[in-house]
Amino acid sequence: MPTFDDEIRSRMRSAAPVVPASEVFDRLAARKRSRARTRKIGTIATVVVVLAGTVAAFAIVDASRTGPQPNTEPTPTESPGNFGLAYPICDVSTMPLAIGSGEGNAIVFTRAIDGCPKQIQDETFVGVDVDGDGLVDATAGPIPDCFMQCEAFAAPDVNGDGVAEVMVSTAGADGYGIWPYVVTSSPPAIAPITEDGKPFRFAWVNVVTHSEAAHCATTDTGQAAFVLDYAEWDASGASVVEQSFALEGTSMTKLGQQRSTVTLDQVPVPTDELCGVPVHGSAAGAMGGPPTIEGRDIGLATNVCSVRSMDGLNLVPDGTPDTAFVGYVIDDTGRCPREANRQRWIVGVDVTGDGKADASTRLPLVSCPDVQCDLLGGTDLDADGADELVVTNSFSIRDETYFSVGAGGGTAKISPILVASPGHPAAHITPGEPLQTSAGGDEGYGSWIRCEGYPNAPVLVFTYGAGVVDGHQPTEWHEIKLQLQSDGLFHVVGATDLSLPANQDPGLVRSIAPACGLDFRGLS
Amino acid sequence: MPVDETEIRLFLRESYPRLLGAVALVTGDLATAEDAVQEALVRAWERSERGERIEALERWVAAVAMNLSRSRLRRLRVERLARPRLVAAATTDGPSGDAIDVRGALAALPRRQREATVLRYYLDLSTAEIADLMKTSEGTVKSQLSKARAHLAHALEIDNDQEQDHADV
Repeated sequence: MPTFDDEIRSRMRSAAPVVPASEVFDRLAARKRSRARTRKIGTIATVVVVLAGTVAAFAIVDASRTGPQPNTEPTPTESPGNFGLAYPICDVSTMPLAIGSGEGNAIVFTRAIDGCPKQIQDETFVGVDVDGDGLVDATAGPIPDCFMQCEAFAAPDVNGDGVAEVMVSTAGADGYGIWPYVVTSSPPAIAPITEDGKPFRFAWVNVVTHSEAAHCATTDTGQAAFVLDYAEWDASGASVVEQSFALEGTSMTKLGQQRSTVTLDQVPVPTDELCGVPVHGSAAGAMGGPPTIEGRDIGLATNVCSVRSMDGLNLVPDGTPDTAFVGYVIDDTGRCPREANRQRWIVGVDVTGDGKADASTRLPLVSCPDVQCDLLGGTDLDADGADELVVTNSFSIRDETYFSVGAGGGTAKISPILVASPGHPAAHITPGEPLQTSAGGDEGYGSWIRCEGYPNAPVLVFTYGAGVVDGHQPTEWHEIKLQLQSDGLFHVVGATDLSLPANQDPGLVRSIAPACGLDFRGLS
Repeated sequence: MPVDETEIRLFLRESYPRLLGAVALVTGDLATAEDAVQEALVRAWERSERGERIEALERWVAAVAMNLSRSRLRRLRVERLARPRLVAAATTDGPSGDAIDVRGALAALPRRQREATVLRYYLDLSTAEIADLMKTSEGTVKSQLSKARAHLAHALEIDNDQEQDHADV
């Protein structure tokens, strides 16, 4: 039986589109030439802007010059002395260090040879000043993974021996990795903590899906323990794994592991302290709080984010003004997803006037996950006395999707309005699918909506032209007339299809005026 | 290794279809993937002509193409221009039912889980290579893959024989 990995690998390979690479080289070469042309134009524009900016800058400097001017040359990062080291140092961060009844310092720094290095990963070290005289008595390093920034992080006494351990943070994409070191005061020494002979490291992370933190505890037998917390959560709760360690000498020994389920407000997250001492550097104040359920309760089973609403609609002609909502639902973690993951858009309607949605649907609009969707408005497209709801998005080309709302027997329903057979496949008006029109344009595409016969017998006229912008291929033009009929479907009642040279006027009416009671250009 | 015409032609023959497939699985859209991979390849070509060194062309192009395909405006524009061509292609030679299921299951994943999954199972990169390419930690990649596996196992009715140790960070 194939493993999961084999199975998914095989099925993904079957699912990937197979596209031959023929003629691609010519397209690449053309693209390269086009980029070169664009760059030349951009360079000329930049030179003009820079010249104009320089003139303006001189004017400002002359007007304000009253004394010595600061040096505007780039300078190395901070280098406040070298703590008695035999070489200059950069990127210094320090923190106090409790050693018995006295206090020393921990110093994280980058060694400078010919100025501050741009690549710091092999040149960043940690030192200790065990007697507080301002001189480094011992160093360790280079600190692993110092790709972006390493800093003094915290100095807790993890094993309760009266001498603080030194923890150094390495900044990463999602948070920090922490390398702990053991300090010895006599003779002065600092050494990395290991587990099973390998460097011991833990994470300090609080991101949308999980958190990693640490704390100190005491075991049932009174032994000091260092506990790593790992939590993952969704909207219903969190799963936490705690791993306990004991520090002896420079070795961490695992004592045990425990899993538990907690509520979101009990999730262990990184804070500004570790084992009773403050966290230093950029990690302080940067980690956020426990997870929360985000979004707005509009009466549906799940909260909705970035809610746009429109009231005063007449979706159900019962004398009560109706309200429509649009937004995207929270993700499984209870948070409003980041832009790239806003997949589940929803339209809700309140037809009873209590402020809560009575029905909802998920948008079939492919453009919603990428561009904020919004409510264009309600208008009566079939002259039956009730408005249809039009949802659109905020982009240079706005797509519109049309919804009908019904209510009866204590329930409400909202559905996208579909295209009746046969539609008009030549213009991608597909029978059985929700009608989607667009208005607006960008490079190679333009579309317009106008209206005939409104309000007594409205016909929506959707016109668009599409072509590849290379000056050689023709532009495809379509004008489709659509009528919402009593069967609840949009019927194509007229169509014109043209294929014309790119620069030829199709002779079609391209109006940007309000149409069928709505301004299709309306959202800007 | 200089990225010149010879190298580009070799890349097109040996790596382009596979890489294009990977980016298309992530974006769910062939036109966007084509645009992103070709743009990345042209950028590599230009950089090489400026004297910059690109050691691993396939991985470099993969990383840049993934980044480019995230640009929503770029994606929308490409989709718009390519709409007639894509619809025509879909009506003449559509994907199989299983391919649609797999693409649908991938599309339901959050973007970064989808990227990690395609890089792992389609391009066969290690978790360390994926972490490097996605500019994140290996632990995060493992976590993303674990969640993606759970979703795909459920959506595609595959027995998930692997349990990720989430505490392994």
